[in-house]
Amino acid sequence: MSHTVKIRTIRHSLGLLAKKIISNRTILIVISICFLLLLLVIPLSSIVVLGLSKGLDTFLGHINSPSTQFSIGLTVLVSLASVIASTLFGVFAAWCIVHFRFWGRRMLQSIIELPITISPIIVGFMFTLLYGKYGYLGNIIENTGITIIFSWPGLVLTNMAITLPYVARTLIPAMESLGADQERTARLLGANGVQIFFRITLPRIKWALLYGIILAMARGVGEYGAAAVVSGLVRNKTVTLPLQVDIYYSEYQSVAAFACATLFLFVSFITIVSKKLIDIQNSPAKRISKKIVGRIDESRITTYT
Amino acid sequence: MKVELQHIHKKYGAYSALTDISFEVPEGTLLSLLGPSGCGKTTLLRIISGLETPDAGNVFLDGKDITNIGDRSKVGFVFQHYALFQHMRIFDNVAFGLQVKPAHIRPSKKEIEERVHEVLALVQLDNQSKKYPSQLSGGQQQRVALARVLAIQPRVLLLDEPFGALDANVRRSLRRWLRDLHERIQITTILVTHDQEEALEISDNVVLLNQGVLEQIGSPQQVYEQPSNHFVYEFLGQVNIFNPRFHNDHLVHYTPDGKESPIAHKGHFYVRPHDIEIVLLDSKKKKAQGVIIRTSFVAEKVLLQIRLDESSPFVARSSDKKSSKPDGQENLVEASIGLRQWRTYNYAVGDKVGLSFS
Repeated sequence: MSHTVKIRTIRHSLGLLAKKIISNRTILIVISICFLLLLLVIPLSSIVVLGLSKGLDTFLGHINSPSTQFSIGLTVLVSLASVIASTLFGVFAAWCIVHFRFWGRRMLQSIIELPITISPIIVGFMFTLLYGKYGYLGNIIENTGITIIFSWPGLVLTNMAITLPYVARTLIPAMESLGADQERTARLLGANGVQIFFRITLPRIKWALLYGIILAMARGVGEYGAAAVVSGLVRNKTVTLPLQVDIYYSEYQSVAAFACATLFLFVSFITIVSKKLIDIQNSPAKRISKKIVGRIDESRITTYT
Repeated sequence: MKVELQHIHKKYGAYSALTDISFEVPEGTLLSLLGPSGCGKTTLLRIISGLETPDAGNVFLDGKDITNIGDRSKVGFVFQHYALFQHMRIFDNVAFGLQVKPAHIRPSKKEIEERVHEVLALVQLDNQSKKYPSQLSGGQQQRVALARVLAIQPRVLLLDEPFGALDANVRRSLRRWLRDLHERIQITTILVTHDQEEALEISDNVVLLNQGVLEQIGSPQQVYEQPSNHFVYEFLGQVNIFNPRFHNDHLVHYTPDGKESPIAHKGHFYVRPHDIEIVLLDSKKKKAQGVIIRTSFVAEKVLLQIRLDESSPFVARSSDKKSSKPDGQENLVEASIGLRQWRTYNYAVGDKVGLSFS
């Protein structure tokens, strides 16, 4: 075989190889885009399109209607309550798991994950069985005049149960990677628990904490399954926004349903943007650039003085 | 403040971390806890700091029993890995211990500021107070950690391998600096280290620990020159171990000279490399003879490895347990001679020399 022929064959096979890579790449990209279009982009944008199909005035009218307004308010209250619960629980649980070694520590870590894997409908049924009029605890509580099931406390409780793990889940790995050295040092320097938390721990976990709060918030706002079971759908009393969407839809008011649904799109959008911002804040690149900027600042100070 | 330990015992399960440790650190002195890793030195330091409680025994500060008192506000602890607060500037790191004091004993803002600058000046870092810890070198960070502890005016300073994470040059300069600092501020200091050189160089007293047992306490010179047992002898620096040679079941020589072998442990005796004198073969002082098989140049001194002749009255083995061959197989002696002597005599590999123990 002559030299030129050899080169030609090599070139030929290289060309084939390049074609192969490019075509595989293209196929994979096209598949992913198709998935995104069919499953997310088209359905989501059709929500907006359908919501606005009767014009902006109708859209705003649906959103401003008393029942929608009430359900928005209730949703905000319920998810705020559960975010607070999730945050408190998350901080306490993460602190325990990272700083103490106790019997059942591993088990606690697994149990925390439980609500994420249980179907919300099941959570709703569990609460109904337990706190309902004929439930074990419901019986006792009813005597005090408080109703939980088919009333807003039920919505708050189930929502709390479902969003409980989100803050703990982001905090535990974050705090574990930081270790307990600085907290121990702070204690040796005479700081008490509260001082250690607010001056040492919190500043170092603030981004992870915020991240967890945003996830819990997003989950809490959109919670449907458990709410559907415990709400009882008493209009202007126990209807959260996801339930309101469902009610509109089953009453053939699809425009109103889609108008309300756009609010969820808005929440998702805010969630994604803030998540991105936190990632940027937290990324190593940012930290390094901060360090360099700090160094430059310092050197400037020293040269001027 | 005087620190006193009495009969400290600590067990982890079946493992005895510390067994009956008692000693005293006089006011204003610097004591090193020295020993191989796992000897219990850090556990002991943590017991003094209050991070751990002993199973039995007591810790006294100035005669006051503080074994079971959580408050150790008079004790300052510095970790090996600095544990600086990464999110705070150096100033705030040092101010922390003062800022977290209960309101009624907390100094005013101005006093805190003065105090911080004072201790930062003491560790020669006052011009770095606006930086973050990550912008400082390891040695500087360790000095900040020290300043942070000094700011709360402890009466006892506990240092857990303070230079362990630093490279050799920084270590050496930092430990001289620490010795100077200690002379200036005169705080009773207890330092944990596994580095013999460090312990000998900076301490007033050295405590040698081995497997949770106190082997010896004394001044650096005492523990080096009058080791109380074979562990101390072997742990502090290089040493040659000689065994008597048996010939036809008769002991040829027990020791070359009773005086010159401070310890006879089960028939062994120990001679440090620098206590071996290289003499002429026909010298009267000659105790043994051998052939130089290696010379290594170590800056101010030269190490000679000498294989002893069969005619010598004893055999040698290395103190380095890992590399030691069965007695007599290697029969190597390490001698260290001054550079000047080496230049004069120009010993080379293959030379036959006499050995004397001085």
